[in-house]
Amino acid sequence: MNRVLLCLLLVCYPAFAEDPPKPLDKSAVLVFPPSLPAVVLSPPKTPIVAGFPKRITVTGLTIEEFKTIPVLVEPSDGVDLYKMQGIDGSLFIEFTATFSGKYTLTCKQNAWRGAYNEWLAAHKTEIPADLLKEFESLVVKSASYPSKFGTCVVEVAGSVPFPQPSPNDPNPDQPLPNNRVSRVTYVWDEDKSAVPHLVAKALQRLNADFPGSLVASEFEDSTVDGTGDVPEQYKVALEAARKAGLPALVIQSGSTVLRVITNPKTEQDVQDAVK
Amino acid sequence: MSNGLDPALIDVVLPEESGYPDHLAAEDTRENLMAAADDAGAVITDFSNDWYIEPKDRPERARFNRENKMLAFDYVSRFTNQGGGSGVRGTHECTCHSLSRAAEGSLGRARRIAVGPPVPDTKLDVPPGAAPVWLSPLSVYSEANPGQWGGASVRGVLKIAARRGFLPEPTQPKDYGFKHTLHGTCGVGNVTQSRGPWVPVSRFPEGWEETAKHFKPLEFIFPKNLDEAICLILHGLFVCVGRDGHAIPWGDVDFDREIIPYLDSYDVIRADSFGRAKRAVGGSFAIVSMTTPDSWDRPTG
Repeated sequence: MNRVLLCLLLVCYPAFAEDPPKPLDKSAVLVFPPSLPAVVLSPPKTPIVAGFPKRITVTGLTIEEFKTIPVLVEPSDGVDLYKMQGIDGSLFIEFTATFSGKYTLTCKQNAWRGAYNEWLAAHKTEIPADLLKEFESLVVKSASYPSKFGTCVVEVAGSVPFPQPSPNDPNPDQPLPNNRVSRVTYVWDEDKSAVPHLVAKALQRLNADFPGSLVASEFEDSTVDGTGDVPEQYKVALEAARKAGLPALVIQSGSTVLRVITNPKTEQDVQDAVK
Repeated sequence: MSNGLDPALIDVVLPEESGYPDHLAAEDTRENLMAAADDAGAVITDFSNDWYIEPKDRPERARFNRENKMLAFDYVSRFTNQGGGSGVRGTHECTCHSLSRAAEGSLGRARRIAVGPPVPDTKLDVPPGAAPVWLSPLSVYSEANPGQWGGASVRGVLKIAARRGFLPEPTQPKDYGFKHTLHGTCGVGNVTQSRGPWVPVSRFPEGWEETAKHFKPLEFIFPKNLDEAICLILHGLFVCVGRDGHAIPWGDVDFDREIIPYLDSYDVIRADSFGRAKRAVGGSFAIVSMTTPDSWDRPTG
């Protein structure tokens, strides 16, 4: 634990140096999955500058489950921890965190240790010599799931742009090339109707045929989220459906409404709308 | 789901009370249930013509649902277990287990992703993007009966859930990072349901209401008779009902055998005959909609 502490404190060193080290190349830039929302830490908050991380201290509960690398961390005895993520989102994630209590770190994907070693090998010459030994001695341990954890996401800024979502990005609200359909929502009003079973079947079929790239669902007109607002994911569809008249099937590409079909009743109605 | 259902599992009366005593059942009339929902601020949906399915079309609809995985059972991925065993005493939580099936089923149905049907003793392999949220029956029961023993009324638990929602269980199909959770039962639980000791509401995790509000029934429908209840089941809704000392969620209809299967909160599917169902339906309900998150990956934001 002391070695880890020393290692991590030294990793933080560049944040305090007057002349930060030469920025690492693109493959080591700190980026987070594009779909990760920016949430302000409490307190304090410090943006991570792409190129090399600055120090961010997070107190209290923590750790977002990142889409590509779910990482679970328990509290520790004031030890700062770095995780690193490559630009392709498949390596590892980097930030610093200070917790109270004892923590360990794990990665559900199996790439963490190997990826870290590869990154280290590729960037050995760029890491200050007095830090290299500490980087090499960083140990990743396995962890158990901390049941009390909430979510914390760092606000990220920097000169290197985030990578663009791939066509198979599972976030259906990102803009998509070629107006690819990403959302199909049947918006209905329980005062007026029930959901036709053939439409329901068609929606279910879309979810089964296009898992992860298309979200087909129903939304009752007066449904709200836990705070009493229209759920963010349905705002666009609801507005479009209300304009057209309920019940309506709203076809979206990201947040762009491609078309609205009023009163669909059959599977064919849904299939034709999605084409 | 009822093909081959053992006749011994039909019209079962449990040997000991599971949480729905006669004196509470007596006041679970349709009118009282509706009043409870209204008091809690929930919307009461009328059983309009659109919900009605002609009797001649019902068997075909039941077959359609089974073939296309659109039964209420298909929208939940687990059983719950309030029972005893391995040194654990059986509980009186049945009304809340039944309610939690309807809540989880409503969320799953709106997403139109068939994550079930559940299999006893099995954590189904559900893709992370389709993962449901598992809601704690105990999180409602603790308020419904602070004395722990003696059960609760259907209207009582419905009102509590509609007013402030459920807490999620710490055991989930994927890691949501919930700030507040509560184990699902003081009974034996199972591989998909966490268990633990009695927890009064005063000892719920601090700030728990901020999580529970995200898992609240918003709209209910209260069938007037078995006809309407069957139609709701054929639309893929669980219909929750208490009878003969136990509360359960009906989720399918077998017209050949004239039985209504349900997910019993003992890791098993059982069924009520049409005759028994007809006597019980007066104090029943279905959940039309639940609070819905900004993103299914972050149900509490």
